[in-house]
Amino acid sequence: MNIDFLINSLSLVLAIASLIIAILVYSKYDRLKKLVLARFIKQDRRRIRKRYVVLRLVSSDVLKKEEVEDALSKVFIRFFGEAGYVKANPKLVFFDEKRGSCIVRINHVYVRALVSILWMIRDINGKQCLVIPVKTTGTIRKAHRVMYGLTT
Amino acid sequence: MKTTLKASIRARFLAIRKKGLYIDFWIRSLDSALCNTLVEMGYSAIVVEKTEPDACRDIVVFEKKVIEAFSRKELLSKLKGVSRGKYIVSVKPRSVESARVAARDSRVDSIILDGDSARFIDKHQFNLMKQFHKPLEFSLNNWFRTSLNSRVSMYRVLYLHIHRYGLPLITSSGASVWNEAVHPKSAINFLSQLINVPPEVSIQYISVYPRDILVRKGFEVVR
Repeated sequence: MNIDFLINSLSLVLAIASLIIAILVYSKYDRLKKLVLARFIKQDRRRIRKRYVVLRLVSSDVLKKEEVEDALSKVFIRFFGEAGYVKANPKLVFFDEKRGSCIVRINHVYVRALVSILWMIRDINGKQCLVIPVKTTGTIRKAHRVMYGLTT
Repeated sequence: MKTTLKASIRARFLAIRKKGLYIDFWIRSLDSALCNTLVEMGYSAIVVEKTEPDACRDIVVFEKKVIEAFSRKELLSKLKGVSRGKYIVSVKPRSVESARVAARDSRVDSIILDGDSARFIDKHQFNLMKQFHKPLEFSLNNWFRTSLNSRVSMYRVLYLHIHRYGLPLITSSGASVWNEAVHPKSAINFLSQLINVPPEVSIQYISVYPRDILVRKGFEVVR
């Protein structure tokens, strides 16, 4: 009689305990998932890095910085949408009017996206032009060096 | 096995990028300005539909015939006068029967995908193209010029072609003036973004598959 009572009460306690554990795990599921992801996938923990893309502009006329910036953003939004544009955050950080080249800063994930749309820019305000990607660098200093032909 | 295959694809990608063996498979009309632009962009060979005499000497130029056919009879009659050893022959099918004949005929080198021909390329056409090793040609300027609805149908065909049937694709610019030329890097990245393939694969659409056709026809790609 005593043994039966003991076994029954023990199983009841175990059942209640497992129920509590299940509820706890379920409520902390997202946190656990994050912890596991952070442990095994290092990429998620990294911050957004910037890349500098050196571009060469071939044109029949002289182009202005605002015109180029506007054309770039329009084409980017046309192809990737506003969400893509906001995430990529492309900015024309340097523009050399005489040389006809510029440096665009962008989120490292979207470098290929930027290069992929450059062929769609064919005229800027009625001026025929062509945008050629030269090189992608990690620092603006190196981008300048590439632009002025100091390194290849 | 999987890692070995990946490594081999990667090695091939790096080798092509190092050599810079890019081929533009369709230039509508070539003049000296366009030629200079293409040389600067790093193309090693181009296939031209119309060319001025002595317009380009710095690059290997091949001639191309583009045939637009509305029926089987029209396609066969147009193919009759074309020299097989001299020209690259591409067909723009404008009916189901012309698409089927183009896939079967050994004189045809590629089938051009544009807004009008996309609706004739169905699963039977894919199977025929697979059987007769016919690549599909995708021109970036066609994509740029067509309407949004046509782009949707073109995308559907491209997606099936690559992901379901695993057939070869050739990318070309279809340029006729200098500012329509497409940089190889842009073309590779555009395709990898559009049809969701890695650049290691999309580089083959602009180098390996066009080169295979030229070599098969007995042309020398590199000077």
